[in-house]
Amino acid sequence: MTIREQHIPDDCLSDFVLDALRIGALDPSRGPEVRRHLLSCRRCRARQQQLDADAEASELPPLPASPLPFRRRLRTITLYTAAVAALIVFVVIGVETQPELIEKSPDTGDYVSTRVKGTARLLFHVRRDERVFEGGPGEVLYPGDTVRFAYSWSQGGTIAVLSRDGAGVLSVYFPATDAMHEITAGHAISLPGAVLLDDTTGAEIFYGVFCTRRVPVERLRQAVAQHPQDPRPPSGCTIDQIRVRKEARD
Amino acid sequence: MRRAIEAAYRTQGPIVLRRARSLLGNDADAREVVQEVFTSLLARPEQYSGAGSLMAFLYRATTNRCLNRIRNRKTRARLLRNQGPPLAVAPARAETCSVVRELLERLPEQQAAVAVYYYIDGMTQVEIAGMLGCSRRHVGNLLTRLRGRVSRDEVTP
Repeated sequence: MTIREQHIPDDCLSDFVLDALRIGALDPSRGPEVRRHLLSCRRCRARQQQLDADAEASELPPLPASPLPFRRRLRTITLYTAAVAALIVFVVIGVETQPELIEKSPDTGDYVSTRVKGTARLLFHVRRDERVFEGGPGEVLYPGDTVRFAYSWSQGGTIAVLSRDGAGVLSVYFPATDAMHEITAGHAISLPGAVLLDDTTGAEIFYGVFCTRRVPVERLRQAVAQHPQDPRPPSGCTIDQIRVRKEARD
Repeated sequence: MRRAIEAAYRTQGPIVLRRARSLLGNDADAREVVQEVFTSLLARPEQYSGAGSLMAFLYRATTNRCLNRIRNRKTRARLLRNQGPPLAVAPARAETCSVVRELLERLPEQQAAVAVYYYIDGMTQVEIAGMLGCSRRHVGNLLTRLRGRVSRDEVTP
């Protein structure tokens, strides 16, 4: 599914209706009208096929037995506990604490804190004509845009940036050699060099591979090529993905 | 109840994943949202009252969780910018970026949800009204305000 910049034509079917049709949850009174529309509308048929293919390609792990996902339980602690723990560390050991984000739990309404520490993030900036701006997930890019990557990571190590374009071609954007680039811990640190985007359009994924050791870039490329939607990083590595969309200029 | 939710996870989990990916643009975060939505439903099945379809409930739950994350991401980005080197960043224009994602960070809660359902899911005003439990007229008003906001933002340097 892509983010549309404009609403679909008024008489076309929403994803909600197409999803309901696919799983057999469509209001029976709408069935004939929806099927008639699908017969006559190429756009909606294509969208339906796209949604079906996406659903079939999705691999989900078994549903955990615990009330909250394990990762979430590890990361999420109550504000009270976090405050007490931070106070003890600060007073007794004198260690500087990492910033935490405070959010309201949608389930309980309680305020909880989420640790930022340790999360490796790939960032990028785009130069388009005379303008430079910070890009993000879902960004629409154009052939000729120049992309410069950056990272935030509280732990130093090595990095490589790969990309899979709309034609399914996997490229190593950074570094130019087969050895991963060494990086230090830091926030929004720009990587050297930039990438000039070619004219292949479609959905593109940027992969930021962060490792605690040097891994041959070719091995990273193979790992991403095997499971491009959900790549399994080698031991000691983590992958941050950013999905963008490249469109032809009008 | 667990069996029913597990069955829904198999058939509708991919829908939740697809929408979360679209909203967050990040596979790892999207997968966490899928787990959160369904494990929360397992822990408190009474959240789904039975009024409306389960799919509509899952659409709403996914939208709310993703909007929370997008807002937190904005806070996080601000933290990073404050601590990192100065960046030559100009605000991206709405017509060249993913319009909705940029707006979501700044919109009031209900307006943000309407933007998601209208621009991303392609829902009609009637469908959105059913999703939010409000009148079609109210949805129309929210969309008018939304378009006004987009226009204003486009002319902001």
